[in-house]
Amino acid sequence: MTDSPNGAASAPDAGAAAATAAGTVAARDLGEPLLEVRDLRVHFPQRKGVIFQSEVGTIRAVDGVDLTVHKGETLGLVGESGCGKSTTARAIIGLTRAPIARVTGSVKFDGQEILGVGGNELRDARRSLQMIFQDPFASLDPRMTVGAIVSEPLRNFGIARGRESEGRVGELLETVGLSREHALRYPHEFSGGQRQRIGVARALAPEPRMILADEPVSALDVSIQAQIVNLLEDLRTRFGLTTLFIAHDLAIVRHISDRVAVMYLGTVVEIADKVAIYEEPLHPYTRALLSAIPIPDPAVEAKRRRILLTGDVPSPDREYPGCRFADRCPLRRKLSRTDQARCDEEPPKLHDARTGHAVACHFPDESV
Amino acid sequence: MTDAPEKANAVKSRGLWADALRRLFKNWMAVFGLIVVILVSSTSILADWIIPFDPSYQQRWVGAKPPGHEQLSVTNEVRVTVGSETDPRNLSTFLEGFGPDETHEISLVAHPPRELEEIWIKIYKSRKYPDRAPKVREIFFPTRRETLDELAITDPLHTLRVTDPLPKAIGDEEPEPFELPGGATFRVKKKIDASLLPLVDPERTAIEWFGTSAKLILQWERPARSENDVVRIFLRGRRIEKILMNGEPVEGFSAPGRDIEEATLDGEPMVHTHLFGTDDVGRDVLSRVLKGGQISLAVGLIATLVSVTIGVAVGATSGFLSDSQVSSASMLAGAAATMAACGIAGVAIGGSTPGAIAAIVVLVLFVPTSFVCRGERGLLGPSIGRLLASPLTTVDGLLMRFVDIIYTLPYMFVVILLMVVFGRNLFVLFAALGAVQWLTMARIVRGQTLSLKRKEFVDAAEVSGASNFSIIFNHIVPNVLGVVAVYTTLTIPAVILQESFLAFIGLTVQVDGEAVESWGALINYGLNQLEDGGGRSWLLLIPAAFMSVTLFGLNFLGDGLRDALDPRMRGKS
Amino acid sequence: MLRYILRRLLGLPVVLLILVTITFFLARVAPGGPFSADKNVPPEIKANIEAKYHLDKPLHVQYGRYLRDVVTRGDLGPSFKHKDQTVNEIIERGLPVSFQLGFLAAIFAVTFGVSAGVIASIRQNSWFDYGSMSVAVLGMTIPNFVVGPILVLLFARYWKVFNVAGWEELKDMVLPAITLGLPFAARIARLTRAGMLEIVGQDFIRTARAKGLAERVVIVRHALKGGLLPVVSFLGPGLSYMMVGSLVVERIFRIPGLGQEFIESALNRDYTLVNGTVLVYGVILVVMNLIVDVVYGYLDPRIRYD
Repeated sequence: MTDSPNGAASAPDAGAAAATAAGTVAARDLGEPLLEVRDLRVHFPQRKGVIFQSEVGTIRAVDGVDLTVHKGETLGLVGESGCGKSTTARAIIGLTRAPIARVTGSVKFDGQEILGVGGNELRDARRSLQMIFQDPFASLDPRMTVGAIVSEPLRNFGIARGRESEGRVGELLETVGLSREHALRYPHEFSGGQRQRIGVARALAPEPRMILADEPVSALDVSIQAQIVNLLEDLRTRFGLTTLFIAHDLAIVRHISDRVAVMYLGTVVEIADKVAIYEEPLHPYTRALLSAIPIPDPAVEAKRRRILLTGDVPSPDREYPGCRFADRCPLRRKLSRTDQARCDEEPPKLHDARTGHAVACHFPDESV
Repeated sequence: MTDAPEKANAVKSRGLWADALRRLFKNWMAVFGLIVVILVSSTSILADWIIPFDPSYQQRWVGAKPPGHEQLSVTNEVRVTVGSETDPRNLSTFLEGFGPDETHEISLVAHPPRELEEIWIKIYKSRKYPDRAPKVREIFFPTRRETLDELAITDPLHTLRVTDPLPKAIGDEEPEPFELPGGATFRVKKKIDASLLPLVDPERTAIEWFGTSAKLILQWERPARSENDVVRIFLRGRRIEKILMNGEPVEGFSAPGRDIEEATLDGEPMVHTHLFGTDDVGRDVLSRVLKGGQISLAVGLIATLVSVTIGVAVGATSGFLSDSQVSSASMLAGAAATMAACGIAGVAIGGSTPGAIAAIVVLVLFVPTSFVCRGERGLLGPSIGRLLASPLTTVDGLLMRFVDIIYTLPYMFVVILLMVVFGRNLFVLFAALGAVQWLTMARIVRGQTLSLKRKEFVDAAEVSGASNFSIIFNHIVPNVLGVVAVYTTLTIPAVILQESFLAFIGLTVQVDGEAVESWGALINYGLNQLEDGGGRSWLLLIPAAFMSVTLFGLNFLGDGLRDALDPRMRGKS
Repeated sequence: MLRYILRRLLGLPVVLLILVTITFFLARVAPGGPFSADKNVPPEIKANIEAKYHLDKPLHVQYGRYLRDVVTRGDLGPSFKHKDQTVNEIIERGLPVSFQLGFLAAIFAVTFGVSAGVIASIRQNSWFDYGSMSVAVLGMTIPNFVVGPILVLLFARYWKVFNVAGWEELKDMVLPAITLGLPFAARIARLTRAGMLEIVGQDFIRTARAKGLAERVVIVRHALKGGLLPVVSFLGPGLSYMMVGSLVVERIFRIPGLGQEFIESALNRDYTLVNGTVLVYGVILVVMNLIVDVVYGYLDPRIRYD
């Protein structure tokens, strides 16, 4: 494990309590990239036929995603349901793959290409890149004790065995706010929040450098959500974890992220520092999303201007020659005919409209 | 940590299985099923020790007697002795005329007794195989203190069996003089060795030889003390004069001149009770039912175990690997497992199974494998693998059609067809029953696996670095085990039913040329023994009751298990 | 729908072709089968078989001729064990009897099953409900080779109400029909009850009641059609269960039907007759299944075949 270039962050050998003394992460300071995703595409072919098969269509769940997550930072990934957030994460960690899906593009983790690799290479990558799953009720094997669940990575990655493993499991459970005794119980004896803590402990077990958190709180009650988010934040600080935090709840993303990426229909439409996104959203879709957040101050709330999107979320089963958002875009309606034609025909590239603020829109400076 | 985690209540941890068991014990139907299953299976396992009689041991002179019948422990063949003038060679004359394994009828005309002399024919009867025909061990002339040495020496194991009629002489109340009914018919079945031939005296006939006889020696079976007890009953005419057991008078028979009504030994009555009666040839129904249950259960268990093992392995593998090119490998693995199982079974059964059977059975089992693996369409994307995979999937699809067509026929017809073509041996039965049961098992497990592998915990295990093998055996298999347990308890009665069905319609399995009589065969036998007015009904009702109760028990237990493991399934069938 | 029927009909010859092929070759791979030379076959039969199957010719020629005879003339060949009879004659004799038996059993099963199921669903949780459903469970669990003999014992041997065996008068037919129909009656009763209870809980029934329709009209006009759908879908597999059941029933009551011929031929290893009967069973099954599917599609407009 290499030391983080960021002096303030602790090394990710988050062994145990030793790391707790480390300071806070300097969120603003973009470090070296740890995870680089380039032009990631995940297409699901639709097949028909019993004896002789033919392909009848393609679902383009992820269609050209570019992302960079820097060491020590938390990148929030937001978007509507079905926009490809989870698929992106699953493809990064190698869960979505052929033959069910066609996955192309490039995913580099710490400089190593991990997309499309298998066997030992993939295992090595997963030792440093772990995932927290969405549904705490489905992600724990009901026939295993909590101890067995948490020790599974220890065993599989050859980190610890027997007594040693037991000790580690105890430590991990305490780290996530459970007690050692819980190792002997079964998942069905725990509440949703506790189960998600178990999932977190499992993800921490191999001492990863980065965690993909796939909507880790969306299946939980609101009151429990805060606990888990705080736990994640706390752990991130303690162990200097890099995190890709996926959520559809903008408030939570705002709370936990350093930078935020917004996805729409399989592509990233805007990616920037948290403050930049929330204060000055450039993409019309981001603006529409943000305008939907209720504001707790009634005076401000009353004046909040909501941008209503028309039309349904389009289907990802066809190709778009131009901007995917064009037919729902509130901005396009105000453009000139030639500009509209550009929206319809030329796909917008993700480009830096401001420093460190990339957006995929031809007209990021037009106001809605 | 900003919050205190919710403390899990201090209840002692209970596994899912413990929970399920608790639920199971609340279901009294299931408990009843469990008790029945335990009773039936323990009696079947212990059948060889606890059954009172050999199930195929015939007591023709007893005939069909209702349940509770108490039979005097005079069993076995009645031995005939002859008068004092008898030349031992005459015995040979009697024995000589028959070839091995033939059945002859001999008419006897008896004359009033003159003088008594006995010939003791000591019969050796194996305790281990009480049904085996008794062997002549010694022929002895006690008054002369002579043994018929030639016989004893040349071959002590000749079989002499004189069965049907003589007991009549005991039962009737007629006074002296003793007279065997004129023209009484003996059915004599024997094996005789050529070494006896020199003893033949062709001048004397069998009739003459028996002519002066009025004495019987009965081979007497009682709860065995020693193997060769000889009980002698001395009759004068039809009256019992005395009964000696190994030379000692038997209590209760000291007074001469009584008909045999009861006999005691050491104060114990020398009777045995046929709790469930006897059939028309005097076989003990209880013993036959227990033995039949042993066979039925063994068939059910073995076929089920085979189907469960192969079914779970193939189902889990093919389900987990479905949608990937490896599926064709799993298909081959299934076929290989099948072949291995067939090979082992073939070797175990031995001899009677030519290679052709094995080959066909493998084919029969292989074809369903592809059925199990239906839906495995390993499209490999743009790679060359697709070229490789598509003929496989096409073949798979074609095989699929083929199987569909075979399965148009009810599966019992296929089993019958196989048994007709390949003979009624145990191996074919297991293969035919197991093939389909395995298929069903694999399909169920595969379906479960398909839904399980979409669960996040499988993804989580993969991310945790688990190999495919580890995922299948640490995550998938334990999770389908509940379904497997339920299905197994439901498969056993199904197989028992199917085997009994075959036995009932006459397709009994044969081992060493003898029909194995399971419950189905017994029920069929009972049906054919029914008399007008409902006579002999126990021959039908008792095996039917045993079978029904067992099937009920197994089905209740299976349903109960299913409810206990998955409360949502309650009330659905 | 029409296209679906047409496609299924087009598939029919393929199914039959494969069945014929399987039975033909199965009889030939059988060790010590009818076509091996060293059997103790009466010379007349041997001559018959040889003439029929041209055993001197190569296998594919034999197969071709067998196929041609079966397909063009429906000629299934001479019986292997019965000297003077062809398989066709035996089947023509047995099939009508089996059809009568199946028909009677089906009438019994549907009449009793549906009425018991409907009454049980109307009087849910009444003694009738519990009683009839317990009997139904019994009827489904106890195999018919137990039920049949017990009926014989009671009604033919003990009370002598019906006859033990044969197939001539009505007294012969009652017990076999009941024995064969009982498991189906039980199944149908359960399906009907479940189907009715589901339908009765639905909104359109509540509407019908709210309109003030008489309960009888609600049940007969509205609920029954939907409630019986599961029963109809059971008829397909039910037919094949019934065929298996008829083997046992014909044997218990010594009915000279096709099932009895099939078992006899199986026990005697009369290969030609076994093949012939299996083929006939296959045809009946395929055709009946098609009919059931079509009827089901007609009854339930939600079903679309494509």
